[in-house]
Amino acid sequence: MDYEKELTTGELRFIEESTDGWRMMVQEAMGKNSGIPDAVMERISELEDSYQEELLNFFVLEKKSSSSINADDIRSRFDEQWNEKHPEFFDMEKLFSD
Amino acid sequence: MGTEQQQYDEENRKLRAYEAMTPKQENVSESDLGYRDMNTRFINLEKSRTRKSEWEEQRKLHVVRKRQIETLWVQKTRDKAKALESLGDKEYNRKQPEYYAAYSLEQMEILLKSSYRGGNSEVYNNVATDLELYNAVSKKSESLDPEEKRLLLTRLKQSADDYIKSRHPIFSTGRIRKAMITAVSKLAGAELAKIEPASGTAEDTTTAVVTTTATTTTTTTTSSSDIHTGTVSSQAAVLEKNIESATFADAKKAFDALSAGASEAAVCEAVKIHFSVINRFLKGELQLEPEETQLLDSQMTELMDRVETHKADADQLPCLSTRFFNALGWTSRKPVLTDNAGLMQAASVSPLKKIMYHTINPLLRRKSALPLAQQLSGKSRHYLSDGVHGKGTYMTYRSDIPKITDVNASDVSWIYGGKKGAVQVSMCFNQNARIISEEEIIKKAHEMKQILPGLHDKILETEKRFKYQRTSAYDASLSIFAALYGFNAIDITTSGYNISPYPDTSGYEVKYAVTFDRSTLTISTEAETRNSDSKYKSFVAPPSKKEKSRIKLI
Repeated sequence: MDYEKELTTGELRFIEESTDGWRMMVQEAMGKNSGIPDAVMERISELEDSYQEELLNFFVLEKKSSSSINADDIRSRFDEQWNEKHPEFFDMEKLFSD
Repeated sequence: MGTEQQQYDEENRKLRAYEAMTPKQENVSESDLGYRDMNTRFINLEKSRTRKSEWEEQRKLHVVRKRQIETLWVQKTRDKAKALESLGDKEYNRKQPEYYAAYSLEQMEILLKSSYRGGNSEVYNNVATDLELYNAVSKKSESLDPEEKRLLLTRLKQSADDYIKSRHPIFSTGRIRKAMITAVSKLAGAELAKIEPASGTAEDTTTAVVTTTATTTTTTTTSSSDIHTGTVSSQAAVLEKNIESATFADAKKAFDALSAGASEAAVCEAVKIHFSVINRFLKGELQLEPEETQLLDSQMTELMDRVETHKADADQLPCLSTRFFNALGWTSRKPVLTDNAGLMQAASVSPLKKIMYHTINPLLRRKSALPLAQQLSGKSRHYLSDGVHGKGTYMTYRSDIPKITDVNASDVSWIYGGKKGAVQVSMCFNQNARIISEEEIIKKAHEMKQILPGLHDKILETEKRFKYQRTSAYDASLSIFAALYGFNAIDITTSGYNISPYPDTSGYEVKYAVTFDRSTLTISTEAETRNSDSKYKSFVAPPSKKEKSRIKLI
């Protein structure tokens, strides 16, 4: 899918920045957990990629089904679904212990 | 209380005896500020009796302060001071600022200077310097230009507020100083209130020519390529002035004039008028009858419903915050641009006195984030980033807490720019910034629930997010609440970067602030860009010198 055609610059930026706050929490948690193996770091980075990709697809589908969109509303519904699948994502302790 | 009173009387008896033995000193410049602390320390020292020389020294100081209380200003408020002494800690803290607020800013300068007990922080020094500057300029010039006075007072108030914010509630020491600076803030605020607000300041580089009649509004917008010139046409300035002083009747008239199919421009005009009325009402500058408040609430809620249907620009985030700030015209406001040397200079006199950083990743397969950075510098309307502390541009800055690690604000900001082509922009707040702490605006937003319940719920509902740990009840909607209360930036207090194991007691080494009005910023056009991707997406190390290069925003 050509996302560049499907979404506006503002919407793409919203998705690009959607994990900014989460990334900060991860960095901070990493500072408190020294010696994290590369494999764990790799897995967490993949999880972030996966979050953004799924949000991107979700956004495109939502946009097609509604004339007026609200990014917050879409994000809220997506996060709820995502949290069910990956409860460790928003829980830093769990993220590093799993 | 009886025991405290007895101790106090005994203290006085001893002091009087000591004073009789000590030559009188005229023009004592010491203050009474440390009096209560000194009194407690004095009693404790007396109890121990083992550190006699220190006790003697403290007692001498105590006498000087006591005499100052007698001879300078406290004579008339002695009873009040005594009454304060007998209060419990909580009450004392609450009432102490009122006590100091009885003084003038000139007297407060003397009090601040004489209260030095070491350990002055940068934020404290800012207050002292700004206070000194204001008093010096006021004294020197009999007819101080109101605009200059306004700027000096705004800066002073901001410094004082920053100091107050910087005091963590767990600090029991320095409460007298905090009380004193709270009084400075109040006094500066009172002086500011006496000055008529400046008209047409900091409005965009977009020149708007607006003509209004009783029922119709037409707007013509002309863009200016020179972002340094903030020219506003005289007609627009007059309109802006009218909106600033709009009454409830004006709001009702504007609302009633809106038909079902009214143009976006007409809705925006009504929003601006309602915003002005609500703003002054919430700040206590405008009184409204209960039925007027109720009507204002329902009208603004309906206007928000209409604003929600407006189209955001393609390079903006489609959400209520963006649409609301578009309607107010805030997203068209532009920052001040300068170079790195100019930024250093601007930061030294800016409200936070800090250089701040904002880093942006390029989108998808695009090679550079430069167009997005250019948008921030004023090329198109403001992009308000999503975030759980409000919507706007998030910036990192080094806090005033003692350094624990070698982390710095620029490095932390690079966390958000791990891709090749990411751009980091440096900036500082300027004098247009009206900053409120996150903690405070959450409190105010909560209060608004009782005052304007419909509007409160509408904002909260539309900006609602999935709740997970570390998010407040208000999160993304905070920017709208802050604007309604007259602020254009939020100093984030519930999050920041600190890898110390004790974040609750040490605060955040690198803090965040968010603004939803670019005119609050002075931005350097000399930015930096990352030349290669970071190894891991989620663990972004700052680029080394070799991994980054300079890039011009314009």
